[in-house]
Amino acid sequence: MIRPGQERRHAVIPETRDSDQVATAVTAQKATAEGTHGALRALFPLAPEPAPRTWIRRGISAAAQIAAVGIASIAMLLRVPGRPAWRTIFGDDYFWFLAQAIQRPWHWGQYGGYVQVLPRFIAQVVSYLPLPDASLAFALAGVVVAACGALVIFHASAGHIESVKLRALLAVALVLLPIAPMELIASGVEAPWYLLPVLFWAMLWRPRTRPAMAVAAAIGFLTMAARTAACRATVRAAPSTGARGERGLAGRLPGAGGLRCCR
Amino acid sequence: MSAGWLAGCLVQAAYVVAARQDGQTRLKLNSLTPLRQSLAFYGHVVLAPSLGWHTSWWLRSFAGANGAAAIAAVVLAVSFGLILVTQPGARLFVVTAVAVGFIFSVVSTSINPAPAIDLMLPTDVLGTRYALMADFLIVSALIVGADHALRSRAHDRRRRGAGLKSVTAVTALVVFLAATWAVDFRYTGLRTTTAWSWAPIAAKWEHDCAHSRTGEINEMIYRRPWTFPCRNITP
Repeated sequence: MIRPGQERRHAVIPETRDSDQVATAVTAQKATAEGTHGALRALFPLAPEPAPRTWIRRGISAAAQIAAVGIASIAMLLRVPGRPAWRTIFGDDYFWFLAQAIQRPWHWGQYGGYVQVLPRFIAQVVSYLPLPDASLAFALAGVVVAACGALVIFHASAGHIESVKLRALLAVALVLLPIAPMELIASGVEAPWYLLPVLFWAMLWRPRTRPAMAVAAAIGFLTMAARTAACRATVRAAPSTGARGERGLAGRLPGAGGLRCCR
Repeated sequence: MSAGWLAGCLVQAAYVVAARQDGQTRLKLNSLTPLRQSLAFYGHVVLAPSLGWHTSWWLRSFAGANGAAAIAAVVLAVSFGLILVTQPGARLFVVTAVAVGFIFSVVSTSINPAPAIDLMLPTDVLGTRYALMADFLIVSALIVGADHALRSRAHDRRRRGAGLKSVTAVTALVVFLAATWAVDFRYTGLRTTTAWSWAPIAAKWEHDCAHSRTGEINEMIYRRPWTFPCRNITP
């Protein structure tokens, strides 16, 4: 819907949105000037209404998004130096989630005081695959979750960022975040951390379509059922070998017999 | 979104309450990390690396950890100050994003002290997961500010020079982000140094299952013994 007074604006201002979208959201600046309700509308802008598309254009758009997720996933896999990420298994994926998934399938007890639905689900699926492929499956799951999160942010930010190029820049920022190679890339156990910024954007998102609403709801559920703001690290009292026979976080902490790592 | 979020909270709450009743909760309010430690974590692991991972260690090399955090804080304060002054439409988002990131990082490290008190090394920084959201929201706020700058450029073409400033600012942001992404694309961290090579482990489990008489195998994982039914292992 184009409000009175907006027609002229659209006539003189070059459109920076996707050409398929119609700018209908109230500008944040105007909304801010309208008090609390205006501020809320500025913070929770309605997503722009997509213009009707042909099936061909929808197909091209879907293919482009799938390709983007694939490229982002490969890029993230390449961000881990040394042994390829798909040949190694990280942290709790190995010593807790996969082990439990094999020992007691679908028994999702609390871990560190809370439940981690997404890492456990990933581990459970991985446990049904051929055992040698487990590291590959965990790595793929981790990067695909992050790449899909970036894609959701691209869509969810449409109400706040008019420029499609800047929205793409924002999505790429999640994929190429400088701190990520330290511990966040290509594992099931760290995958939910990528959902937190996605949740932030999803909370500000007011999608128009039911599929988009379902995606937002799924993000809300998965993030909250996979994380508490608190994570814990327990240093258990056990003799320290000081060596990395069992390589892991325990080995790098002086005097730590076993750092049960929670994510 | 709200329904999914609430459902997730309910599921989580059931486990948290049950764990608390079993005495396994980690939410111990009487043993929180001192606030200054959590603030130090925010400065060292969130603010400084927001200028880039390698840049943050370069800054630390001559300004120290606190100096690097202070430099990053000044750079971000100037950037956000410019956005707040010149882009009123972006104010609410910028303040919300930066505040949410700050609160999340500080609260997380208040409850889990290890990342806040552990020694930081270039290849060994514990708790960057607590910095992911805050760092990304800082970038988000900068990009939203840049978008508003472009919009105001389009709105106000009468002011000579205003458009050039906006384009220059946005270009600088893009160049800065691209540079940090290129430099920090890959580096050695905990994901590299503490991950297990999987092929030998999988081969051992498969070998043990092939020779198991009971249909079960006993494996030591991370100093803890596990018993696995071989029927649950797909060779």
